[in-house]
Amino acid sequence: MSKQGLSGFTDEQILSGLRSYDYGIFTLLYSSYFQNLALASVKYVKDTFIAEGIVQDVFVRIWEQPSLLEGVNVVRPYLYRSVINMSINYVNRQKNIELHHLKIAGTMADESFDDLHEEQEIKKIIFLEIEKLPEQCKRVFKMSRFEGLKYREIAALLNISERTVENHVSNALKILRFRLLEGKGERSGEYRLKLLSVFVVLTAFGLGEMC
Amino acid sequence: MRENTAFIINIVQYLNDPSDQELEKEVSRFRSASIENDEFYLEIERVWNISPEVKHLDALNTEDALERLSNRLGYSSKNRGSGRWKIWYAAAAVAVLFIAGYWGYSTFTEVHYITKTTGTAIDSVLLPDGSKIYLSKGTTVRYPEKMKAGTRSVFLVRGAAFFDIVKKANQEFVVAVESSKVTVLGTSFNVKNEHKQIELAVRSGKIKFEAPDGNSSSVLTAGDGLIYSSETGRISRFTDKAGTEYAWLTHELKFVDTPLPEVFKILEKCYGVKFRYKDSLSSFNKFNANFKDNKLEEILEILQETYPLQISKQDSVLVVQSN
Repeated sequence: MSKQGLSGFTDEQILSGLRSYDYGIFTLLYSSYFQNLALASVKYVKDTFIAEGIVQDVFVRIWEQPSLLEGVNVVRPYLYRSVINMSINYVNRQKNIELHHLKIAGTMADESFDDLHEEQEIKKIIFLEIEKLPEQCKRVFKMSRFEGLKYREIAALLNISERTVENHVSNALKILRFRLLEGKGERSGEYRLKLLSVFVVLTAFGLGEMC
Repeated sequence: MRENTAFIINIVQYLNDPSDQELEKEVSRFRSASIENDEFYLEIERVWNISPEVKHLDALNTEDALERLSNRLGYSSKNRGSGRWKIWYAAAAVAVLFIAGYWGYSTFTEVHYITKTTGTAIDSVLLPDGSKIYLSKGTTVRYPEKMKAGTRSVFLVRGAAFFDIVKKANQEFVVAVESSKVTVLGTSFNVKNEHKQIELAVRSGKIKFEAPDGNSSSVLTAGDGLIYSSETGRISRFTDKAGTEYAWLTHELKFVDTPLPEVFKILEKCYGVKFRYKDSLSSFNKFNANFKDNKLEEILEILQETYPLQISKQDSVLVVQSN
């Protein structure tokens, strides 16, 4: 069951599982959502270590107090809302930023969390696809996008020409775009629209760069 | 979209430097040529924009995270059976109060930890208690913003760091590396956490190393070194009187009655070179010298003056032969 994912369960089944302390459902839910929720939290807390702590806290609370789920009919918005609120609280405790952020997460419609979720799904896919890139191509691309280095700096560090760096980055972007949008398999096409639309929605909500 | 190959280089150059107006012009000309082109550009740009955020997934391993959650709730992953939740839940409720779980997490709400990562340059961190951590390249440490009375603790997440710890009465200083612990009072030492092994070298004072099993602990004093393999759990000791392990920081090598073969071994490690010996070196006198900020060539020069040796470069190795 644990490898199958959550797709076979309705919200109702998941919620009733949580209310009856079904540890199998609980861990399945955690495994399916951990990376997505932690990524959403990192946007605020800027630290994966803290983000994991927050996601963990949200789940521990659910496990210990299923009564918190009273009135909850859909799991996803509840999880995202809890994680985002706790992340914002954490940041607020660190610095004193204005509280209007908190209101944004509170007033967001349930459906908008589907877009937020989709965004994290795309990140997970991109991550897996980056790992599959040819060795040197992957190295160059990670230096460019993960470490934020300029082509000139990468060229100097790896002792290759700037042109070679550009070729590697082009190659990586071409492959990633192809795999995401045109490649064969279940995820082809369906992500094309999403990749284009998700960001529009998020920037409109001001969620893209909230802090 | 046939011209992609030529234009993607343009796009890639433009994304690297959006302030370049020439590139911007060319890109917008490509985009305005057709709707398809414009879409192609937008898709590439989105992959470009989203990919930096993806890097966090490197540090977000679902299996490990589940393990830590289970530990916190008192469910060992081995006992993760169904139907037994009632007993476990009762136990968990109590356990949660006492088991810190992965002890770093339990404190994150009270103590704010700061993460410091170095790229290609060495850097240092001054801790609230006056102790100092010097970070080698590609190293990550986590340290508390404020230090509570009682213990002082930091995490070496990866890489190598040299710790110069201020002595405080009855206040231990703890360096946590993976699940192992290094405890000290006041001292300076190097810790390296790379390739699934932890390497320690003490420069001054005394430290205690505890492996995760909790049973084995080792005490090291100045000049002592230790390697712990997190895969096999094996501990091996070595001596590092020359300070090889932290030469990345000090640029200092101290040779005190060091046998010549040992000297070359240390140079290999510090300077990333390889020596080959045409003749036996064991009959030579031991070597005494201090080096600071010296180039390898300078050290080799001195060795050639001290001993009847000739060192020459052949391809990628340095060949040592007696005159």
